[in-house]
Order: sequence, then C-alpha cells, then structure tokens
Amino acid sequence: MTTSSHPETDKAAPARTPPAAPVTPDLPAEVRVAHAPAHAEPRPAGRAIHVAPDIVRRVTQPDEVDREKRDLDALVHKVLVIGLALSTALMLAGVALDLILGRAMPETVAALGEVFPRIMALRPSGLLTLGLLVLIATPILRVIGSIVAFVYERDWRYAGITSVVFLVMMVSIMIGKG
Amino acid sequence: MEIVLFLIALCVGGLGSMLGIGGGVLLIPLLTGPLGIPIKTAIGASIVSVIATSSAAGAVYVGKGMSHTRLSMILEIATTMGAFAGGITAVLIDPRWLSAIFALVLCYVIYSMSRLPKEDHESSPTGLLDTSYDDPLSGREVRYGVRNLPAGLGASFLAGNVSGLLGIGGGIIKVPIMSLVMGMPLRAAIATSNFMIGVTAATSAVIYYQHGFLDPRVAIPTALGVLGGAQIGARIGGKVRSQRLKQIFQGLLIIFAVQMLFQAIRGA
Repeated sequence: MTTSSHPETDKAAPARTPPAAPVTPDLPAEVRVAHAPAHAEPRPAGRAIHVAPDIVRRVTQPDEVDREKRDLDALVHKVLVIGLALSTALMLAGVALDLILGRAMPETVAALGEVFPRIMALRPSGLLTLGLLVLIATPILRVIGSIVAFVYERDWRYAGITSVVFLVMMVSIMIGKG
Repeated sequence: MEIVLFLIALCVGGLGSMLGIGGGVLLIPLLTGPLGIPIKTAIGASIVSVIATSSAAGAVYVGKGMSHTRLSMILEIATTMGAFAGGITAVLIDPRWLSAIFALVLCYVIYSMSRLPKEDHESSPTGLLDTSYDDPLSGREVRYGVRNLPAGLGASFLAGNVSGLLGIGGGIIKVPIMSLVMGMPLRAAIATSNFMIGVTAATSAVIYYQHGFLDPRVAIPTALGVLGGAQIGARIGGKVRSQRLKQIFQGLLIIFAVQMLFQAIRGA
C-alpha cells in the first residue's frame, strides 16, 4: 500500500477542510503508524492521523490545536532538560577534576578542535569547554527540534519560520569567526 | 573568587527567573564593579548564564504550557538577527562604550518597568495566534490572542540587538511591549520572552566563544550558580506576586546605572 492517495481518508476528513490542504502524508500506512506519537488516541479506521493545520480547523476545533501545542511543548521540554543536565554534569565533572588535580581553573576555553583531545588527556579545560558548548548548543538543538516537530505536524508555515531562525544562527557561527 | 562568583550567581539566577529576565542586568554590574572583571569577560559569563536561565526556567514554564511557542518562533527571527548584529558590534567596540551603553540601557529599563501595569489587564482572543494557559494564582484558564505583531517584531529586534551587544537577555525590553502593546497577559509575556532568550543569547554566544569572551574561571561558576538559582526561582516564581519583586529590582538598577556610568568615565 504505497499509493499517494487515500480515497477513504479524503472522505472521512471534515467537510469544511479545503480540498487543497494536504490531508494524508505521502507514506505507506505502516510507516505512518510507526511514526505516530505513542500517546495518540486510537482513531477510527480510515481517519487520517495527521491533518494539516488550516485556519478553518483552528477556529472550529480548538481542542485539536491544544493537543498539537502539547506535543510540540513536550519535545521542546525534553531538549531543554537533557541539554541542561548534560552541560551541568560536564561542568561539574570539569570542576571536580580541577580540584582532584589541585590546579587553578583554566583562563581560556579550548578551541573547537582541541576539545576532544583535551578530554582524552583528562584535562579539565576540555570538560569545562564542552560543558559550555553543550549549554550554548541546547537552544540551537531546541530550534532544530521545533523544525522537526512542525514538519511532522505538516505545519509548513511554522517549519519555514523556524528554519529562518536556524539559518540566522548558522550565519552567526560562520561569520562570527571573522 | 570562584565561590563568591557562584553565590552571587545563585541569587541573580533566582531573582532573574522569577522576573522573566536572564539576570544579566544584575550580573554584569556586579562582576565588573565589586569584582573588577573586564566587561567583555563579564559579558561572556553573562550570556552563558542567560542561556542557562532561559533553558532552566523555560523548561519549567513550557511544562506548564505558559509560554506561547508559536509566537516565540516568529519573534525569534527578529531577536536572532538583532543578536547577530549586536554580537559583532560587541567584539569590535571599545569596552568603555559598552559600559556607557549599559548605563543608558539600565535607565531605559528603570523607566519602562515603571510603565508596566500594577494589575494585569484583561486579555482576550483576537483571532491572531490565540492560545491559553492555566493561571497559577487563580487556577482559571486564560484565553488570549495577540495584537500589533509588527511592533512586537520591532521590539524583538531591538531586544536581540541589546542582548548581543551587552550580554543581557533583553526580556526587559520585550516584556513591556508584549504586555502593553501586544495585549498579552503579563505572565504569558514573561514566560514567552524567557523562552526566546536562550535562542537569542546562543546566537551571540557563538560569536563570543570565537573571540575569547569566555573565561572558564568566570563563566563556569557563574553558569552553575545561575542554573541553581534559576531552578529554585522558576519553581516559586509562578506563585510570587510580581509587584514586590519589581520594586526590589528597580532599586538595584538605579544603583547599577550610576555605577556603570562611573566605570565608563573612569575607563574600567
């Protein structure tokens, strides 16, 4: 079942949905099921799991929008918590290593290419720099996570908006070197 | 030295996350004044702490559904562009100018905070980016929408620019506009602004990293302290009335504005 159209799904879609809206992902059914969020309620057979958010539905079915908001928030929440925990652990490990070795803290951060060699050599500055970099990377990863979430929801407008944010951050990394 | 930095950062992180700001407006005067740390190093430590505060408090607020995620994405286009321009400028500019601009921004912050309403205004759905959250004080569901998006974008660019230039979060520039001009409830404005700050700050932090603003001796204790403080602050912040906090904060800012102006003239 690899067809690009699902007639039974189109029929089941709410009548007020404009026909131009992408109703069903162009994927085999088993792939769609595999990618469905674990907590999604079971839907009646033939009903599309993902319906592109359109303005009519947003006004008429606010509950559905709220569910999407929660899904997006959950992903963003996970990225923030993991990034924070990891960077804190790295910084604390660096400080601990500093104390064990009885050294003063380093005055400068390691260059990007130096980070992993220094960690391998058990130098505190490697761990401390990586901790700072993970902390800085967390919001960047959050933006990437949001793009993925919007694409997954087939919300192209917000996927585009978030991609512009990501692009500006990349330009900053590239030009910031100069 | 590192212990003192950690303790200062702990207090700043707690107060900052309760007010929905990164805490940089408090941190930089404290680091450059009493501790005599060069302003560019202080800016580097501050931006790292600003990211930590935003991620920590943001994680708690997002969990409560109080920040407006979609609106934040739109406004982040403006804040990151501003932060990029500000970060480049901070690298090139004389440190004394940074102190002078900092004093000026503090004056604006004191002024704009006094304009914030004492009681939160009634918000209503507008048909543009309508959303809702559960108010922590009343437990009531608050539904609201957004007005004057272009003004919000303008304020966001300016906030991002100041953030990149001075290593502060810029929430104190966005929040009054989001509350008064865009018609958002104050708590939603604070949560959303706080959530955006991390992305804004990361944009200029990558520039600072590549130009030696990050000194681990200063940045690490500060970041860890602010992280600890922000965890505490974000958990009690939803329940504390914002009026009392505001008064404490304004008092501190007046002292710091004078101090930064003095540092700009003296050349520290």
